[in-house]
Amino acid sequence: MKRVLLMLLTLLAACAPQNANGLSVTLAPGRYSVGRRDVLLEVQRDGKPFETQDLNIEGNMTHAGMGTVSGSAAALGGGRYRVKNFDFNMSGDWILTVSATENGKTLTGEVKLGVAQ
Amino acid sequence: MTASPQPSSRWDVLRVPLVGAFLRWRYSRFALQLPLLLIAALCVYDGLTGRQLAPRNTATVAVWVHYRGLVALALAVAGNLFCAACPLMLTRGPTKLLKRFVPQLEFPKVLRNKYGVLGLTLLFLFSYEYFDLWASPWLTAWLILAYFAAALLTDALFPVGTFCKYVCPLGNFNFALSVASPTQISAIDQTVCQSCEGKYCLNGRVETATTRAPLHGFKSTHVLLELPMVSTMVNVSATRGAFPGCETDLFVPAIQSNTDCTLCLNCVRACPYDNVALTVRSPLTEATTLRPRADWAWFITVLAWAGLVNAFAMIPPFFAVAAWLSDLLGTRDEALLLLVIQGTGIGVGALLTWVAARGKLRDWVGVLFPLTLAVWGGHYLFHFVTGYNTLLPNAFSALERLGLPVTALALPGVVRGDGIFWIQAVISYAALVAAGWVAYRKAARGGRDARAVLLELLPMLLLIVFFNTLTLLIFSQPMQARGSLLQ
Repeated sequence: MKRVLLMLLTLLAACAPQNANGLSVTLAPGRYSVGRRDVLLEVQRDGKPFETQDLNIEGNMTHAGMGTVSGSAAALGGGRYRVKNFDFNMSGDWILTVSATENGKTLTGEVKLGVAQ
Repeated sequence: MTASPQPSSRWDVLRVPLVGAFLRWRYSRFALQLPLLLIAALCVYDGLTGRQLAPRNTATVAVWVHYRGLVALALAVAGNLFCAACPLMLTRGPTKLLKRFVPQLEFPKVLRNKYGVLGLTLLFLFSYEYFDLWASPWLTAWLILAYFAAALLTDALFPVGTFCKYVCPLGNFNFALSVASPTQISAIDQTVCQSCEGKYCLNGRVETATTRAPLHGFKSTHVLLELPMVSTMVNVSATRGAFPGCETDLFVPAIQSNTDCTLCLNCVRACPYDNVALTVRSPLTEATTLRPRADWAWFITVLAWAGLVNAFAMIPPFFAVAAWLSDLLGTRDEALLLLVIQGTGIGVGALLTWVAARGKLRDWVGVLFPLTLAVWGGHYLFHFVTGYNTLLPNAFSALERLGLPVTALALPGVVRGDGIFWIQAVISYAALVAAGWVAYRKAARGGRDARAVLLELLPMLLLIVFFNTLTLLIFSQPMQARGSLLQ
């Protein structure tokens, strides 16, 4: 019964709209805690470093009702970016969404991270 | 003999100008249900097609922040308003249609109690954590659809009202917390009810210019035996038409509790003698006077401790316990770990309550009423206060995608909610005092001497202080939202 339920829910979840659109994002290894922190990101498009001078970043927690933290990333070259003083103002699971425009099309990518107290 | 309703000594909300007129209006429930139906439809649309980030989707924000927060607030200051405005009951039309094609079944006698819905509630609480329902707009939308389908099918196959009374975890959650609400349906004049020939509040009423009869005959006879009819006829002119009676089989003059009352006010409209009141009462009335059935006593006991466990799952020590348990049991199976934590927390809590009541749970469960409202209310308050202003930006975004001419609003920044603790503390201490008072009233029954009262009171006082201490400890921790039980 449980297996059937899990399969059903997996099937439903598999049909959910995907947030990421074109970009894959990885975080530099590190431990994040509450407060203003620098974030190092590596962004790729089709497996190759993605370069832009206008990469926006938005942070959301996984729980409904929490607001948004926004910032912009500075390019370091080779698809690597630094976001300075990003305000992780609450502990828990966060989802960072990066977005950029290419040929009039908005590209997005996501990465999850845990923020300790 | 002609009797007329005697003015009640208690304050009747139905006699308040404008408010009373609205509540008595035949379509008042529909007027309340329609906005919630539209919001539910928007939640389903946004949940299935919108951005799959809980804080950025109407489904998750409306259901897990606003609905829960406003439910607790309404129950504490008014009554079971969300059952009154429940959009699921708008399935009544399709239900009537379906009833023509599906077999009409009696709801099994073995399930005509609160144990079944207690099991469903526990299943819901487990699923909420295990599947991270709070983090998934997609699953939240499906949950809303599943609720509508369940209401439709249950009441199509079984007598109308079965879903509310025996199946709906949300409704029974509301019933449980409404025992501490400050309003209650009651009869204005019991003698009018005794002389009522049709018991219309229960059976419904169909009225023409020349006839008056129960809408679908008499539902049952047991209530008639409790209040035998007399042969007098009360001569009051009443509105004409068909008015359904209570769908959860409550008979107004016999009501002593808000349990099973959806505040639909069918009874108010069905009574041809204008003899039903929505009286204002002390929130502790039921706690001190009620001796509920065993199934209901266990439901409320479990709900009280489930409230603590549910709030505990939002703070760092919960994850520390999960990690410790994972090492101890040598497993990373999150379902198993969650079951052990929830089962232990709720099980041990319920057992402690039973021990403190010395096995007489029905006599003492009233002590838990204010504590239960405080722990659920305090938790939901946190989410509501930190996220109340995130609904409109998300709803506007969804409406914009639907092509409606609305202006997009920016989502506000994250609110930590640290300042909410003092409000939670005030609520918790108010519940502590209220529970202590209820326990004292129960211990002092029968004119015992002071020493006997103290001995009777002590175990329950210890339980109250223990429960309140746990509540404050949990509320004082920094809240966090995490999807995975283990790092």
